[in-house]
Amino acid sequence: MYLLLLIQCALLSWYLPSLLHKRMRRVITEYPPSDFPLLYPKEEHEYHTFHAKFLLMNRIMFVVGIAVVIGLMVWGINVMQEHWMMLPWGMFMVQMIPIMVVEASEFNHLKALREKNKSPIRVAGMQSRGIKDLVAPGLFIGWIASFVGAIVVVAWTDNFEFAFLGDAFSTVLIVVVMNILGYLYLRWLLSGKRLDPYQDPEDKLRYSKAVTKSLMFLSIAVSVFMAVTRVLDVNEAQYLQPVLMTFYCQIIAYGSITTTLKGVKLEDINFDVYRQSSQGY
Amino acid sequence: MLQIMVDIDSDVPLFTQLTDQIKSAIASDTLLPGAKLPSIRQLANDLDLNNKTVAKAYRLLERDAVIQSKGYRGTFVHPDAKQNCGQDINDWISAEVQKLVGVLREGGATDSEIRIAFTNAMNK
Repeated sequence: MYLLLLIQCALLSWYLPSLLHKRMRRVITEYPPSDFPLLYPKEEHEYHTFHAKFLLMNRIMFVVGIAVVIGLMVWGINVMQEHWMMLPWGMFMVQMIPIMVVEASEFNHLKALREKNKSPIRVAGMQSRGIKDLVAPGLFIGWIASFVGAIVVVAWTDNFEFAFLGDAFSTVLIVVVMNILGYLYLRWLLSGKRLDPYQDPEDKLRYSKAVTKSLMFLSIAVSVFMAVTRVLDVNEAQYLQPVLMTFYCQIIAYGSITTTLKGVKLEDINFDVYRQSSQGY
Repeated sequence: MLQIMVDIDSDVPLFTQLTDQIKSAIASDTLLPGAKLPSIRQLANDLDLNNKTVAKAYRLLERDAVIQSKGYRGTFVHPDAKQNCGQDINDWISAEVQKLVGVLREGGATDSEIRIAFTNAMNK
């Protein structure tokens, strides 16, 4: 278990942030503000500072995380108990803070792009971006099946009784709420307000595919995790829950970040729309 | 992928820019019969337009049998879109009105009488 927690520290506070940092650095190096001014509404040094702070925050998280795990080992605390289930989750929540900051700053960045865009020309692709248009049928069916399957499995553990606010009821409620929130967020991303005013429609489609795939995996992971947790609970195997939790945290972080990064490769993005001479989209 | 471009400063109404471009894409086989089109909400948000503008364009295209709505499944290019998008309803209206005005003048009606009659008919 200690090893799994160390791996979680390395993955979430070192490896994945390094991937993101490398990508941010590549963008500003290969597509500098001098050539692509429309991509950078703020001063160049602000981006460099932000990248450095992001890396520093993650390195600090990594050191603190490793220190906590070593501390638990030294004090001989047995983390293979049900009430330690929240330790990997707590670590996960803290470790994700820098990535959440990046997400939030991305929305601010896009808002600044929209405010600076004065072009009267607007372009859109004539390709439908419904959920079923963007992912393989197998993944879509898997998403529905995992959602329904999780509810059936949880109901089965409660002999299909579903006592109001009982464990099974709460678990199903979480599965339903998480899937609905995921679906609404996806719908907003796919057909909501245009975030990047310059983005090439082809890039928008590619990004939509990557995000849809990523969110589908995430929803499947939530459903499977909740069902398995419930099964462990009724079979008195709660000691496995911390292990399951750290696996879950690592899978959702790795899956969502790498799916998006691989789905939208820098080489495929049309950066010419961010040149000064661009007519603007 | 077909791209639609609108100029919000243009004198041409936005819905006309949309219908014209969709029709010309169908005429040039860039959009084929049966192709699924974006939803009204998606296209309106992508172009930063009001939903009603896109809805009006889609409604006019549907009236001309250039596109067809299939409920929750979405909107598609009509199977006979290529033939239908060649027909301009405005040309047809002009021709029919010209014919009728000619008949009324031959019958001795003055232009002001014809105008009043048209206005009354349109207001009914």
